[in-house]
Amino acid sequence: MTPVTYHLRSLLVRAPTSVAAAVGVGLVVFVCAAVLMLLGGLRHALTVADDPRRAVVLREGSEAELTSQFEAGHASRVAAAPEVEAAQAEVVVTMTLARADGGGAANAVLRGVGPASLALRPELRVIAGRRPTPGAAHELLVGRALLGRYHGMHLGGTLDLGDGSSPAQVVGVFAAAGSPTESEIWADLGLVQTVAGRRGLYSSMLVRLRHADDFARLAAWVAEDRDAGLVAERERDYLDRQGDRLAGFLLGIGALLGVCFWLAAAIGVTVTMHAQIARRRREIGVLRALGFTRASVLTGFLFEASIISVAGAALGVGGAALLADARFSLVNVTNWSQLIFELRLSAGVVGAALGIALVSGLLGGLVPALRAASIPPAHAVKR
Amino acid sequence: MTLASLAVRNLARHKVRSGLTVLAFAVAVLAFVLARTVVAAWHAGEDGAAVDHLATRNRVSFTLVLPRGYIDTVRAVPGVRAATFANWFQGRDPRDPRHVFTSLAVDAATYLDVFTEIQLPAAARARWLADKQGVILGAELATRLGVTDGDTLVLNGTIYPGEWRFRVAGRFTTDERAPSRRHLLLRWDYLNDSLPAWRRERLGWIVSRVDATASTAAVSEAIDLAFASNDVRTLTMSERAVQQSFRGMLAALLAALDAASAALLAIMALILGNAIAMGVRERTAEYAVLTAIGFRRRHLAGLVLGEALATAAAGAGLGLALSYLLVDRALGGWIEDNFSGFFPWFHTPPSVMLAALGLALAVGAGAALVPAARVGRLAVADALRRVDE
Repeated sequence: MTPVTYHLRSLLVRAPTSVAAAVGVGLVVFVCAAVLMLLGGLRHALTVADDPRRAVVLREGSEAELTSQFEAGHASRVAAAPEVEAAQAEVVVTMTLARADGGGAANAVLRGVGPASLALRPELRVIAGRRPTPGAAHELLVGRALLGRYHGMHLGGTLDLGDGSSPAQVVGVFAAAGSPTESEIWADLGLVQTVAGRRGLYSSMLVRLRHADDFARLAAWVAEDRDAGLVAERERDYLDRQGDRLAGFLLGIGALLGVCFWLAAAIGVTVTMHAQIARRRREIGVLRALGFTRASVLTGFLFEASIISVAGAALGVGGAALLADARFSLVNVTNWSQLIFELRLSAGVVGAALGIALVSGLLGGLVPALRAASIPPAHAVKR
Repeated sequence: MTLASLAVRNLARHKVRSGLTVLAFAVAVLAFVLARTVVAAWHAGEDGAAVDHLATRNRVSFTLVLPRGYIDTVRAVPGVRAATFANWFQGRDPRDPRHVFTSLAVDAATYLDVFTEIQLPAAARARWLADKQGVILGAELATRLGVTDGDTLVLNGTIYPGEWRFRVAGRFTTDERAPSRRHLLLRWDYLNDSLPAWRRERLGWIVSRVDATASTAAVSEAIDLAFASNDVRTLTMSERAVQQSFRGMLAALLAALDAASAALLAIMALILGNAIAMGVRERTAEYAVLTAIGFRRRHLAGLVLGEALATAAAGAGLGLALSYLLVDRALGGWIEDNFSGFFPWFHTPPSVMLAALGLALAVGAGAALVPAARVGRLAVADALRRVDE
């Protein structure tokens, strides 16, 4: 290869052009990294509480808790299954909340919970305030992702549930390791049933099995009761299914834009390198006359292109790192409520961003580098 | 030779570079149009919503229901010309369960009196009113589901479990941007009579059309007041506000798309600015000669600006052509077919095209500023002395 210092100094001599090309690549890397961080954050949120012993029971065909409804009698039969260690039937509706910044309204899940709801989710910790007193109907526990985003969503804040009685009060805030539960409001089961006009009805049942491999037997037990029309699903699969629809939506938009960004960057690098080489025909001729082979000129100019892309990648990843842990709110289309999660910068994202940058740099630099390699030594003396 | 033709000829001197610059610029314009189209399509429902429609729903949540008697109370409120009701049904085609479309159980007798944008042939309407199992659906949705008038249509319920059998009574058309364009409407009485006792006699929401002379704000207040002391209270909003609140759910994603659009403008500026600057640097000596033979500085700056604008215009033209092919000829139809729940209408509105063109030209002019200024400052003797760097 031609000397590294020759290429580095060439880049420095033409600093404005080099910087412009690197910033272009950097913007591409930034956008791609942001999309990947978004998907990574979503995936993380949906798998963080992964417990193979947990299963969700829903009304068959209902796709999500929101559309599922079944009667209490059927629920108690499921809870009595021999494989079940603990179970809690819950009721889920969406609440319209006013955004704290005045920017309209958004929906959040209001979950009516019972005595076992907390114990079934060991990832859930009360981080401020206290647990609601058992039997106190108008006390709320809210997920920390909602804090400050919506009116009344703070310790001591109130929420009118529209049941005609006094508003419910937020007595505690919980964290749940970043899972979707953090975007929920928890209230007393009976209260939510009353508010929703669903006395004696449930939306879903969360079950903890005695052993992870008991699931098939539980599923069979649930399916046996044809009248109830219920179906059991591993919690992991249930969350995956929601994640797939969300991620598919993000991925579709992200991929389309990402490809465009990437193409623009690759062509941008080509234009830059192309012009560089056209102006440096004489220099390159001298290099060839000095005895550098075509192959070494080719690798040398590919190296120059990759320096631009690596610098761009560093800029892009640096910018994306500023987004890490930023909160992103997205509508969960299966229950029409907001899911709030954090963008995650992982080694995989950095690697992918670097890869995208290098591929665009090398691909964009290839044709100009080939041209450079084909310049004959005679150019050294021509003017 | 005019300045303009000189600018174009300058571009033609490096055909590969100019061609690539136009292409890169076009790709950036394409991405910009795509991002703006998603935003515009997401807001299309708001523009399509009728201004004289009021939607009344359960105050607590749009997923909760209203007692059946509420419709009569609403109809009696002064200022309400017609009122109807609907429930979410949200059936899925068992042959294609991933295809999400909107299906509603509606009051066949009154629904079309309120949603006047739904154009249904009179014969089809008569069939629908006569057949409890009848459904009507948007013509495009019918094509997607592969059914026509008289066919049996089986859907799996998501909210109401089981297999539901319908007969297609007719297909309707609407204004292109109407939210109801790809809806499937079944009869509420059929749904109601098929449900277990505990789920009967419930309305999802009520939609009323307000008299032309009445104020929508006053009527919506009057409706909510009528239920103020009931157990189930109501929230009445204009249909446009309902659409807006639905749209607000993607606010963060739309903000991200706005950021991406801004980044694309920056990329356009970089691509173009870099290419123009390279050309200017190479031609330093020529500019000096032009100055020496009497061209004014503004002529030279105009030359650079003209080059930038010509490149930007070519790139924007190509990008818009590509986006038209991609969105209106390919992607749009597919999105409407498969994601009609989100995007019943997915096209690039002319306003987006115009904005893209205008911004591309503005970016082109902006990118030319630095090189043009440099040419303007050129001292003849210096420029002639300068060698290729």
